[in-house]
Amino acid sequence: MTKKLIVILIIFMCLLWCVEGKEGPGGPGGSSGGGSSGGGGSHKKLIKLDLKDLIKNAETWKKDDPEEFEYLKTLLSKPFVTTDEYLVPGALIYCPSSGATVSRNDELDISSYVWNRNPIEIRRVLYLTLEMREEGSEEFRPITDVQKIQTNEYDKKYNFTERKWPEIEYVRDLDATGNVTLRIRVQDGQYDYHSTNMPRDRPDEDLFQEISLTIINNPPQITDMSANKGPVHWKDPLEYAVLVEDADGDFVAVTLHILDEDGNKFPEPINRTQRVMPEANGTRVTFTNAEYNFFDKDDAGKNFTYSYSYSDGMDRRETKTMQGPHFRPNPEIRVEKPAMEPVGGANYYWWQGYDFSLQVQNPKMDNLTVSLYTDTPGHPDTRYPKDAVIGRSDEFVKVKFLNVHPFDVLDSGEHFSYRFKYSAPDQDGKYFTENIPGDRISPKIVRYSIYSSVMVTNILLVLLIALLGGIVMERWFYR
Amino acid sequence: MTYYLIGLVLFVVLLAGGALLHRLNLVRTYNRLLSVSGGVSKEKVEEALFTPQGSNFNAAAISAWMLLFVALAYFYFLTPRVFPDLNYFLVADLASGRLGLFIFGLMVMLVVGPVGAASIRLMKFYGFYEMSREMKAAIMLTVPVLMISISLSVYLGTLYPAGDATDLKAAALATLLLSQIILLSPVYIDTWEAVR
Repeated sequence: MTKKLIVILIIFMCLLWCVEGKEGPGGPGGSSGGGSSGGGGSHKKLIKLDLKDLIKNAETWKKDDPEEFEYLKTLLSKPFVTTDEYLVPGALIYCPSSGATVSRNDELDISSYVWNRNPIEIRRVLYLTLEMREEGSEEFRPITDVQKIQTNEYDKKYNFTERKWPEIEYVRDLDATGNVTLRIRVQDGQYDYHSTNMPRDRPDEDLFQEISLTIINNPPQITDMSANKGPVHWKDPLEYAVLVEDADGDFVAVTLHILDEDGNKFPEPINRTQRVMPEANGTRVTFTNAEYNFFDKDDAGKNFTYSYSYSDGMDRRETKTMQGPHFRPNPEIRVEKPAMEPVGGANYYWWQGYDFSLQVQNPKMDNLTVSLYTDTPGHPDTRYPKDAVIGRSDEFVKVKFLNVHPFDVLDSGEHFSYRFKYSAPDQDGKYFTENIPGDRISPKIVRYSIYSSVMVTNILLVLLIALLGGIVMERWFYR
Repeated sequence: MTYYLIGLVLFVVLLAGGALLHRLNLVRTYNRLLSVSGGVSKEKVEEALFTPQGSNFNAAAISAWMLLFVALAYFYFLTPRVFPDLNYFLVADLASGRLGLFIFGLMVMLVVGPVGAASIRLMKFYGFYEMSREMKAAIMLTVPVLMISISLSVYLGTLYPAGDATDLKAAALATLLLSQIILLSPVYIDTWEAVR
């Protein structure tokens, strides 16, 4: 009994405190409110009760004396006034595309259709939640915030109202794929029920107890992949770029995987991920070496490959492995002044000899091999069979290929070019010079004059063989 | 180009005409003899008609026929001028060698020599006709004439691609066709006489 008195006293003090709070400068909830109030002219010191203290006390009461606590709850709770006339409000889902197969980027026109035939005096506030059951699950879960319908929000003549869920505009907002079922949960403080408890669908009005959707995810796509294949210097600005698209407008996580030259991952994988929301025409995603520091000087001379994986959270895909970059090695030699000179006049006959040369500075290699390549349409990229080998030298040395006959009659009238290859990387990290254009080879095709011994010999040999052939044939066929 | 084509057509027409007329001459003579000989076998008639022309002449005639085709090959297939996609200089290893020209001619002779000689023998080409000493001399003289044609073609090759040298080309073609006409002359003369 004593405890009840204490509780009643506390409640009284609370009410008093509330009154104080409204009047005081701290406002209704302010713990700074308070001060004194007169009662019958006598001074009575009020105990300042903090809301936290009240909660703490309530928790203690609940624990220490549950029975009294239940009683207190009964005292404090406002009983529902349920009359026999109260009709349970109805709710159905309005959805013109019920049962359809939809894509995640489709708009989802869905709302609640609620009717309440009770007079406004006995109507209650309704709390609506959209619930979804996903494929493979038996449970519905709420997917929206609670929408509150006040008692005066209904059409006065037909006693209905509609309410959309602002967070569900597109199918993707459901954040699910496959077959899903949607229903509405309705709470009015006393009754807790679902749209599936309604007696029937009203398909002619696109109103359903529940709706089933088959949601298809459009997987993200990446196109227009580009990267500098090289050969490049490892310090050169490198950029991997890719165009990311997602028809559903989902966030896409794009991961760049840098792999070894055989397309295998490194023991410590080099991956970088960017998360983007692609625009309608796609969004370009770039990974730059300057930003991510993929490579350092130890990578000089190495070949790398790369691939992408990308996901919108539902579909994960990978690209094929692509080549690049190929890094030039660190230079060991220097080359300059590649040159070519026809032997015996600049007629550029195909039968003519040509001198080729290249200046090489080779301070490190014991045996540096230099090869000569000539190129014509008839004999593309042809290697001269004899290589030049040079030893170490801090000075530039002229490597010569003298009186080379790289062409034949097929090359007459054609332009030629030449280049050198060497067994160590040059100042550009390359093992060869670029193709150096030569001149046009003379179109003259017969090397000897008609009066030359070679031509006379040829003609006489034809005559001789014809005569001998005649004799042999005569003996063969006529005897 | 037209120049070369006309020459080639003339060569083919003369050759095909000679072969056809020779065949007609043979048939006409056989039939006439068979109709008057009565019961004599065809083989014996053919044997009686064949006149040996002498081994020197036969050898010279075969050489001339071989040179005729060598001259034709040199005139048309030596340079890219007539057949850019079918000529001696496309065989670079051969054409770049010192004896390439001779080997080219040899290859032509190896192809046409046995075939030509066998054809001449089997068709009894020259043994069928009465041939005067002058005609035989003329046929044997085609060898040097054809060498002139060959030399001119080679010379044209050494000039290529410079210079048109129409007169030289005409001379080479003329000596070629003249030699062909002389080599086929027994057929055409016999046909002419039969027509008369």
